[in-house]
Amino acid sequence: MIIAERKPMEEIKQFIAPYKKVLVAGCGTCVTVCWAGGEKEVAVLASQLRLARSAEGSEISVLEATVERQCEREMVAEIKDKVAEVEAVISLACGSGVQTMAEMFEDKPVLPAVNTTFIGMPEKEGLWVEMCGACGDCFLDRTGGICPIVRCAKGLLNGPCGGTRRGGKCEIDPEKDCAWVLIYRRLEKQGRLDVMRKYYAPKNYRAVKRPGKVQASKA
Amino acid sequence: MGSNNVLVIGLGIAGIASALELANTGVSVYLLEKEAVIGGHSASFCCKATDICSKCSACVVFDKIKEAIIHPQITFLTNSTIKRLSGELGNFRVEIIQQPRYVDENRCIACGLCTEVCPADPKAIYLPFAEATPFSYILDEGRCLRFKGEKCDLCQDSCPTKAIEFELKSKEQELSVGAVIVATGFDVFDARKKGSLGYGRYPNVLTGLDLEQIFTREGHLILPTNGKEPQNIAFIQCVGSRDEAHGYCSQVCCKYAMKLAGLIKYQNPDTQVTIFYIDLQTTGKGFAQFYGNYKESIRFVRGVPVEILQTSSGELEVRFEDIAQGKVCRDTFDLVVLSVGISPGKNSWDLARILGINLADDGFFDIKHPLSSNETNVDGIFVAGTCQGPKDIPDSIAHGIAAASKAMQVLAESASQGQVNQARH
Amino acid sequence: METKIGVFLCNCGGAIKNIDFDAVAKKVAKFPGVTCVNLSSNLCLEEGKEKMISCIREENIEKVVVAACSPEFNEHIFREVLEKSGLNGHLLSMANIREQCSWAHEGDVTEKAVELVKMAVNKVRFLQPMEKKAVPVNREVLVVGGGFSAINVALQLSRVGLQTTLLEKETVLGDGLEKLESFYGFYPSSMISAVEGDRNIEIMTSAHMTAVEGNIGDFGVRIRKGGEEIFRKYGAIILATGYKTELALDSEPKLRAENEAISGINIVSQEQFCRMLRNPSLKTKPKTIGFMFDFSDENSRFPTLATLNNALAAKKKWGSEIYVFYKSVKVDSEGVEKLYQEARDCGVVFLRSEIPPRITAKNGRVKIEAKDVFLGEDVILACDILVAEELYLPAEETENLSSLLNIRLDSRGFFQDENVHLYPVTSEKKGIFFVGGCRDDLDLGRVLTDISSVVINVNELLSSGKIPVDVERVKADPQKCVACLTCIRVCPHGAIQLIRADNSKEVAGISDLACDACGICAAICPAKAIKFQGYRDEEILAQIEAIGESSNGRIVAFCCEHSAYPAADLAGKLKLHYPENLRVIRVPCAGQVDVFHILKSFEKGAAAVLVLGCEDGACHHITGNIRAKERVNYCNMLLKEVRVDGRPVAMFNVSPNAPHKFVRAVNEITKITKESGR
Repeated sequence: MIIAERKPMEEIKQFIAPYKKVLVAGCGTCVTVCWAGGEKEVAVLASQLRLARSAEGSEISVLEATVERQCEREMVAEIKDKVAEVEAVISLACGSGVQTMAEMFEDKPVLPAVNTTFIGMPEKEGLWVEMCGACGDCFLDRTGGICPIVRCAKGLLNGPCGGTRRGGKCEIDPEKDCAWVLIYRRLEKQGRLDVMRKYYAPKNYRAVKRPGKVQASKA
Repeated sequence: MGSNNVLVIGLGIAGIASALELANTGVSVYLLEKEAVIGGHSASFCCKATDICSKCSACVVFDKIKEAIIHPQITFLTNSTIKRLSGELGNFRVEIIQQPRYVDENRCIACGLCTEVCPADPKAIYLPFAEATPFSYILDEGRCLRFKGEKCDLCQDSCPTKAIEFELKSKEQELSVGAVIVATGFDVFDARKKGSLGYGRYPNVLTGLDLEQIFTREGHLILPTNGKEPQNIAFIQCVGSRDEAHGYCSQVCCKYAMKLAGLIKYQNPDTQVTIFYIDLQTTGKGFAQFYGNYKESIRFVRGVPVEILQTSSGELEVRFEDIAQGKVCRDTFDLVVLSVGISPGKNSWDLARILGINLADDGFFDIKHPLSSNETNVDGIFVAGTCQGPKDIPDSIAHGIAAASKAMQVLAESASQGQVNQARH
Repeated sequence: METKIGVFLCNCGGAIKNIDFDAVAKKVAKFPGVTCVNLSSNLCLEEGKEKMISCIREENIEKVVVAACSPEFNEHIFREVLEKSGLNGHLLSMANIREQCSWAHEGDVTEKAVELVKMAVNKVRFLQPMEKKAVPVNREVLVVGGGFSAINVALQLSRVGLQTTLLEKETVLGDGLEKLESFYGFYPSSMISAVEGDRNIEIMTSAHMTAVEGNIGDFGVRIRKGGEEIFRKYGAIILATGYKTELALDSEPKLRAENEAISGINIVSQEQFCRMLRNPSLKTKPKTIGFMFDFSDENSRFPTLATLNNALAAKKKWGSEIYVFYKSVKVDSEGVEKLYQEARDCGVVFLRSEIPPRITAKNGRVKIEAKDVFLGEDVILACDILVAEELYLPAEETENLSSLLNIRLDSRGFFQDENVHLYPVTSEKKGIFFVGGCRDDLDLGRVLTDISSVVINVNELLSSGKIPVDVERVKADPQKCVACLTCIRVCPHGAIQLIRADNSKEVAGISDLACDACGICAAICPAKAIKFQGYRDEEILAQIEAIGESSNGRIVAFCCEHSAYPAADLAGKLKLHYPENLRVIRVPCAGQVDVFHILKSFEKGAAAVLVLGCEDGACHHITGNIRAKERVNYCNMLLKEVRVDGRPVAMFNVSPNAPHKFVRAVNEITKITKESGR
């Protein structure tokens, strides 16, 4: 799912500086799971903002709301009354959610309080790692289910760079495993090393035109 | 008709653990204690945590007492002793004498008004100690002016719940129980018997138990003489254990000495601590993590001292054989702690006679065979805890639970036998 | 329509002198929802309780606040009073105006008393009734192992009418039983036939667990036997997998290399020595035998026992000269001191040294060089056989089983975390038990005690076939749950699983049976989906609101009910005074305190926040105090981020019987607060 991380507090404080009444809006999907923008984080951020203003000696009124999925117009519409009351909205959703909110409430500044970082999964409690680069041309079939675009520091598609360190570690980041070592080992387990021996043409990075569009065929 | 009730004699941690376990299975338990308060020795032990828990289990005792005191299946009979036991497994009849408490623990709300007005000095009506369970005041006949013939009703008049009653006599009652668990605990070895160590003569020679109580009362260690924190402390192990009169290891002393030393050093890192020992007992779960620290911060000397003398400046001079160096040495300390051992209770003999159970050579209650350390020579009478032999708190609890288990098993079997017999008639 | 709240004040026989009860009653009567205020002098006694019941009935009171002594004492009594009056016992909130108010401070404490009552009134508004239910459970027990402990547990469980399955990975039961003959003089062959003939015991040999799911009362276990996969359900699981021993020599490669030639013949393990003793066709009796223990590992109860028994046996059988090299003999088990004396009296020579002896081979014999402490000299012994030092280690499958069951190991790799609240035989997961040598180096006496303990524990749980639970005490709202799996991962008791809610969405499901009501999950849930009755956000915030309404300078202390709360009570009983501006909120575990609660405390005007839990390593919920510490650090960081300085949040660890430590913590935070000028 989408992983996001809360922005540095200084940045957030800066863009809400002109306002006296704001709404902190969370999203109940991806950002809840990665502890960045769910109902809990909304409450915590709201508390922090109130305490901050109070410490500075000025006031702020902070409303709180969490939408099930901030990238759905219908769901966002449910909080329109609260949005109407405030001067600005601070969204803890991913970029998709922020933009949906911004579109639904054009007259209100919708400010992002998190940085949308990557598509990833939890490696263990509290730690999320990037897995997918959203390149639009998935070739995980031939890399044993390990994406070298994201997990190889150089994004190489046809094997390791030759600088792999001892222990199978990356030349660039010695803390990281070399993605191609992982791919080799995985394909070896599956008895599919022949897949690695083939040459693959350079990747078409324009497979996804920006902004991307996907039209599903009717059900 | 058989009874499914169980009588537990003695309310130290083993008795309480036994009672709780039985009560949780639905059995009705009578708890008999000769003192006015429950908890035995371990109820007055202090927490020995440094920046992590040192696994001394003193808080477990606290928890279990709390649980027992409110358990609906448990009836407490304090100030009580057994007069006679008759019958057999499944059908014991026990005659109990309960000494008058004068203060009804069910009505006393520990408000403290009585002690304020008591004219005696020391006060004749008082709370035994803050953690006392039952949390109720007690009247000491020996101190009370009224019992000495004077006319005084002050405490009774002040009591808002009418909990004080003077015209009480000892009460006798008969209980019908299916099994009995003896958990009368131990006596602390009287360190005065080792006269050359100075206990009772020199105020700064204390026992391990004294130390526990100082910590419990004050929260930190202070010398009895001047109220200051000691800088140089000696622990002497095996006082009353592993000697001619006590052919066993008391099991608890090495660990409590090390844990107390650890606590002392944590509160006051500059304190010097020396432990004089014979064989260091460093076993058990949760000990290995600490032993490394202890080895670094405590000075261990192999060789148990034989003599302590007080110098003119009030310090304690300890004379010992340093076995590693092969010579006799003298060292001075501010405080000497005697790690006293676990001795059989002096009332064991009487109780053994009343119940018909045997005492072993070392004075502890004897067990039927080595593969069952809870069973006595009498079916239906079990032993739990240190009255059967030295144990630390976790082992006493386990032993108490095991006794409960054994009692439960034989009661269940005797009940089904009874049903079989009944069916036959 | 507002709920009718009845407030019952008690002045403890008139002994509480530093609270003006009339003033309190007047103020409390004005709180919204309070329809009745009653002053008594003996609420906990029969007459007081009777009056309470009639008052509740007459005034149609729906929720009750009792302001009196500590709930630690009397909460259960007042819950019963509510039940007798026709109310659900959980609609009660108590204000501790005695131990933590009147007794804890000097001077008049009327203001604090009013606030404490207000906190309780605010909380009670939100309290919801809770029901009890008896949940049926599976009565069968799985015993993993096939040695002495496993066999005896199965036999005793059978005696109380419970059926067991003995799961043994080897081909036969009774591994390691021969040792018992040498050491304790009995051969338990009858034990095996007893087990084989017992109708309540199913024996599965050459079988092992491959997967476990579910909770107490309903464990689903996959077993592989032969080529087959068997799926079974059990109410409880007992691990009795024993231990293994390894020659300490093996861990010293140099030593091993030097002794390659003769190791195994002249350097043996205790078990090999036992076999030699039992071997009727032994050709030559060893004339000189050396034993070693307590050097590499000073946790050597079992090696001491083995050495003493074997040395005595060898002396009696062969009359050999026997020398024992050791550091400290471990006599802290029943009968071992006597055994030690017997060995010495028999002529076994004990040579004590501080450092491990040097072992070499010479002329087909083993040479041991040690510095004897008593002689102060080097001693050289050439012996025919050396029974080398052994390490007592966890059995091979321990780690694998611990991952399968998701239970913790101790710092040496044995089963059972070192947390004292788990002793003797329980684990952090209800329904999973450990017995015998798999959890620690135990002598036979302790193993037997373990066995009996586990039997009554399991019997208590399963014999009636039903376990009473509080229904949905802690529940994950399926509407709000996003199945992030956080609660499942953090629950120390393994009580949460992914289940399919009514609309088929996968959500977190908390088992009422396995839940131990700590609240760690509720505090960490990023969707705020978990509700813990009595400690929900509403209930906690309501208490914080009451504190905040008064002037600033209050210190909010979240006190764990197992540790700090009783410690605070004890401080009151001992009349150890501490600053009056402390406001205690009782929580089931320090781990239930949410970052959100702490920040809200500050929003409402608190000067500082304290979180108090059990000592490190002694948390009743294993990880609660660790979580609390992490959250406190996180909170400090959050406050620093917004430059809200001078508002300390601190975590202290304290035991329930350590009132002085509690008072020290409060004094310390008060000092810091004063210094930062709040």
